Amino acid sequence: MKKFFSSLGSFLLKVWKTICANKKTLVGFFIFVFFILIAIFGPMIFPYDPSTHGLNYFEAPSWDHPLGTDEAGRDIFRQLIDGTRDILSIALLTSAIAVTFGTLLGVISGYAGGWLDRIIQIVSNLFLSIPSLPVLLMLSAIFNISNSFFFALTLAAFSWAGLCRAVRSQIMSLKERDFILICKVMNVSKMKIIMTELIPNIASYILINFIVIIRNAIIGSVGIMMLGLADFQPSNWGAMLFRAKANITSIKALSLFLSPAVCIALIQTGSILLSNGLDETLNPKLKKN
Amino acid sequence: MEETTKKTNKFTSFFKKIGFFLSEIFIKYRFFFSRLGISLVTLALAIIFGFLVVKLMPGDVVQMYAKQLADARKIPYEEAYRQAVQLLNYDPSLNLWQQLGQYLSGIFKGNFGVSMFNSDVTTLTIIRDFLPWTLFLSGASLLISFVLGIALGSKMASKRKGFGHAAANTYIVVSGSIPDYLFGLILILIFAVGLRWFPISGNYDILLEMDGWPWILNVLYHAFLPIVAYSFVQIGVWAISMRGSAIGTLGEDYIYAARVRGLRERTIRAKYLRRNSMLPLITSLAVSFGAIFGGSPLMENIFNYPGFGAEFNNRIGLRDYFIIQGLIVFMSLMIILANFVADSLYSIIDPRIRRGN
Amino acid sequence: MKTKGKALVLVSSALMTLTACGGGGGKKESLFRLAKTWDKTGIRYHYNSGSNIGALSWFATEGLIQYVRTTDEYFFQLAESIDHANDHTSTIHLRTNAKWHDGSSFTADDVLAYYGMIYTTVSNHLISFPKKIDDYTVKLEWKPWMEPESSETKNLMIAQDKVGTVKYSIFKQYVDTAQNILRYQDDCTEKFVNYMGWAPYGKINDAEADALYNDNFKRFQAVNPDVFCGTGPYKLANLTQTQMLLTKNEDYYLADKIPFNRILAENISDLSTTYSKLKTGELDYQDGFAPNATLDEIISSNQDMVHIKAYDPASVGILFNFKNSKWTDGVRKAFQYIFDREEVKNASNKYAVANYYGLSGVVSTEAKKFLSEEDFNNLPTYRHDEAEATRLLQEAGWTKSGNQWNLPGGEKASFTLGYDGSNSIMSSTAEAVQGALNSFGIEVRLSRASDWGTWYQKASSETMNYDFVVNWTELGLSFAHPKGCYDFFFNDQNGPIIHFPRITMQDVEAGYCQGYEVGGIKLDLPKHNGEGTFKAYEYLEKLYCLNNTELKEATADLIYGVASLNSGVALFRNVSGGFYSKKAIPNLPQSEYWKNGNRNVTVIPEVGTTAYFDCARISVEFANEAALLYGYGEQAK
Repeated sequence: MKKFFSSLGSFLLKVWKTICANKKTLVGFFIFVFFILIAIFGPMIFPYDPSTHGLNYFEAPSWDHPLGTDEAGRDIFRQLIDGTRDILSIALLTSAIAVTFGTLLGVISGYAGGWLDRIIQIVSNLFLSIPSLPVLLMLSAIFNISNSFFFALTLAAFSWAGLCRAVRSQIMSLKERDFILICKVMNVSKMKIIMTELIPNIASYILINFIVIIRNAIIGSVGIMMLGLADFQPSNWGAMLFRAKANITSIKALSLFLSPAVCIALIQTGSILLSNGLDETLNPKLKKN
Repeated sequence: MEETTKKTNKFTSFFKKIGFFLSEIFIKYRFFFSRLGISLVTLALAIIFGFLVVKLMPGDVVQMYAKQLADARKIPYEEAYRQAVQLLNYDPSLNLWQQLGQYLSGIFKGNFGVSMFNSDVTTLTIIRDFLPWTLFLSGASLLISFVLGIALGSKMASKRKGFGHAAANTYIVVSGSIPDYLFGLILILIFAVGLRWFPISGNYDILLEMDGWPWILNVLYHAFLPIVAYSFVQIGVWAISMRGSAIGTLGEDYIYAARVRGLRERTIRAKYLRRNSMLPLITSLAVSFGAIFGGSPLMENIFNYPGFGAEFNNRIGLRDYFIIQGLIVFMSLMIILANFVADSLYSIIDPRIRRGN
Repeated sequence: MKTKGKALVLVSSALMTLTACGGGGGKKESLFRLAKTWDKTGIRYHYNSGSNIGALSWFATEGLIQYVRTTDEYFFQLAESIDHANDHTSTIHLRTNAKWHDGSSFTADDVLAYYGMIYTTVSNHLISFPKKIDDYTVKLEWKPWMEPESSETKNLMIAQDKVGTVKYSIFKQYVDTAQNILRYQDDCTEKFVNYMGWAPYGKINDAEADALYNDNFKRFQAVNPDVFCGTGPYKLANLTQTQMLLTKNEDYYLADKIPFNRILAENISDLSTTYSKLKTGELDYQDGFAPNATLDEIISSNQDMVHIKAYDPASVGILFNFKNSKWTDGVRKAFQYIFDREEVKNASNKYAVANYYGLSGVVSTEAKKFLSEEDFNNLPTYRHDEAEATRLLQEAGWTKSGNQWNLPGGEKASFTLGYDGSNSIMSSTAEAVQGALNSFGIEVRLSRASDWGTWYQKASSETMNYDFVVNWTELGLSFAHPKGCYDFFFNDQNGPIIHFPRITMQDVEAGYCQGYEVGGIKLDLPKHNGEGTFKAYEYLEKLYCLNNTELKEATADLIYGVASLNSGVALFRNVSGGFYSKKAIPNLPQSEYWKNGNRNVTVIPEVGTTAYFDCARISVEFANEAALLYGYGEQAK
């Protein structure tokens, strides 16, 4: 166990160094930190008042309302801040579930082999073959998605399969390498091998995928909310976009439309920069050039 | 005695030869067959999955229909419920196993599902009426974005510096940050509602009563914005994969050797780089093509295009169980087929993989 | 690369010029464009086929009488006149020059075919099957104990059905089969005297007959004629998945009243696309409102667009789910005082009128017609008074800690509000209700259903999906008569949502009622003059048959009785309206307002004035073809 934590610690230090090494990664990282801080501290500094003021619809930006008001007179700026929590939590949860599940099954499948491997392969194949968006539509009709956790679970169901497969092939190629064989000869327990040798080697790959899945989760969740299939508080960014879409005929709805759109684009940019930067730093092939 | 043993010997040797032949084929192409087997098993699981997921959907369609009947005919609800059961092509009293049996036997007969409300409407008619438009839109976008993305990616791989490179990089980051449906909305806002250069919705205009070339042009006119919206994001994706693959190829020895031999950069790019880096992308192309059959209800909803995904969404709202099941089976079938083709293509195209097996 | 770019520019500009030339301008022929959805997977060419036929139901089919749903003004269409005699009979005289779209005449056989195939609004009140007197005369005979009291009511009931939709020569075999099935059922006069239950044309159907009838009906639905089976002022010319073209029917008996040569209907699934088209001038008519900002935008961008409003006899509000035991009497009464009804109305439809009367089942403007002046003035009213609400809640055992209310047990007061997300009025009302309750200190979680069917399903199911919902609290889906309003309230929608108790077999055995009422509403309400209680279902059965004085008494009982239940809060009275293109539609009413530049007409005509009828008549949604024939054009008065 101690060895696990110490190798984890040195790994994290390495990560921090790699983040600082590349400009892209640094920018992406800070964008994420920025939004996470907003999600945690924002509502305390700028509390959100859900009551409507129907006659003050789509007011222009002013001191009271830095981004104007929405179609029912609520402040857009505060809605944006209040909604950060929802969007980030869904994305992070989805990614966490998908990555945990995918890595776990991938490692088991790759390392154990045999009939366990075959079963997991077939199941992951199934999830890759089922059209994700149509089934997501149906699942939203079933589960009345108003809970972040269930929504994340549904989205994660379609993200873990690809990761599982990739991890499996990596593990399978790693399995035959010298240092693993040495460990086997030395009678190191399987758990130890997995924890201390295998996982740190694919850790960078998992990390990059974590960020990519965050990106896809945001696209998917906002998409479902724009179709109006998930119910969330009006301050949720997807709900804001949905209402903006309903009011798209009016130019005044621009603020309601652009505010969450720009924020989403920013987070996505951050994730692209972060994942590309990490990829450049950690991927040996690209390192060569 | 001698004769019969000779005959039996001939027989057995004949069968032995056939046996050897077959086992050789199985061994040589064992990965092909194993992949085929996996695909079939996946298909079977997808069919059962489709059945179960639909069964989970809340909303008793018989109740809903009965309500409609009661309102339309001004009869009591109990009356309406009795009549609804008889009018719908659906018997809610069958238990799960009987329904599953009905479902599976229907598929084997080629009946992928009939609408509960209207016997004329079957899964096949829906596919026939709506799929072509989706294929047209998504297929054209896929093709355009693939071609442009490959070109962009290979250029980016060779020229690592300069203004073009920076611009291309920015484009990739920007196009990756905006989800395609948001981009579609922005396009409509600016070009259709604002500038009125393009139509807001639909696939073609009935009022103009054209056919032949003018009709085709009108269809293209209506399809312009959706295709731009789709392609904008996808070009970036293809460019990135192409760039990654091309960078890998550029590091290979034979490129170095070609440069040493004195071949021009352009020839190297055209002859070696593009073709060799495209290999892994061809399989992605096949997989993406399969994904088209899943439909894109969001884009079709925004552009009011009569497509496959929008109709699927519609059927969910109607709780038309059998059609929904049939459509899911069809979509999974297409995706599994595409994945299978992609897998096989990869080993055929790349001889190294074949030999490695 | 350069040549590729040039080619691209050339091709795209050629595209744009070619298509722009073809579309856009064109000839100056009178064309009316509107949006109405129909079944994209294909329609069958008759009204009763079970598929949604879109604009064809408005313009290509008609009934004996056409009425305007909001004002009950009616016009004789296929029926030239109807005589209601004192001997419980009504004689329908058909127009002799009415024709089907394929050229053949519309005769009494076709009327009987309709009544034979379809169970209609009046069929339960008729003692026998309609009789054919001659080719253009049909006679109806009413059950004496169920006969509607006034000729008005009888006409309006006949107007509910589109009788001109079953052509006997096409559907002959199915009509004859249906009539044969009916012939052998029990007469309700022989076996049951004064039977008030379901007995179409005086026959009580058994389950076996039902099965035969429905089987026949399915086959009838599946028939697909070559020409669309209708008699209306417009014929079907062309049809794709997204557009439907109708042309003027030159053989129509009132052909000179038809204002447009062609009608184009667009199948648009997304409402915002419809609004965009109204803004760019691609549509000439749309019923209802748009969200506040969108409406402003449409009116200011499109110089030809006018928005005219009229009162809608319906109110919107919240309904409590009685299955949730937290909604005690005191709590429900407290909720009447929490809301700033003006604000809720502003958030949904700023032109609507905030309502302060209790939830009685009949909109206050309608109630005024059916109550005596004294009774109307004594109706319970409420106001926005948070102090009073606080007092009532505390009386009911609720406590407040900080800004958060707690239930008697100590747990946080938190409720789920369900609403139909596809309806913009319900969506904005739900958000306003949530905002108001959250600031008052009661937590509300919104639960959006993506379409009406899902929402109603969840709201009316026995598992408690929603604690309360947003819906039309009071609505008359047919013509204005308390029976229609209370049918809607008790049986059709709100009753199941509120989960009022229902009559079961045990109640029949206990002697509560006769037997055929099982499933009906089981409520004993206090009479309005304080003299005891009455059974709601008993009143409901007989409402049509009462004369004026009796009706007033019964309505007063029902209104006071239901209001005392506080089963919901009626927040505002709705105002309906429509977008009309003054370029396409000649002689629009309210011209004194929009000619001065105020094309968003905010003046709503008072109930009963000429303008009131004019503004209602032009709505295609509520008047169907009568809007075009009698509402638009030179003959508009």
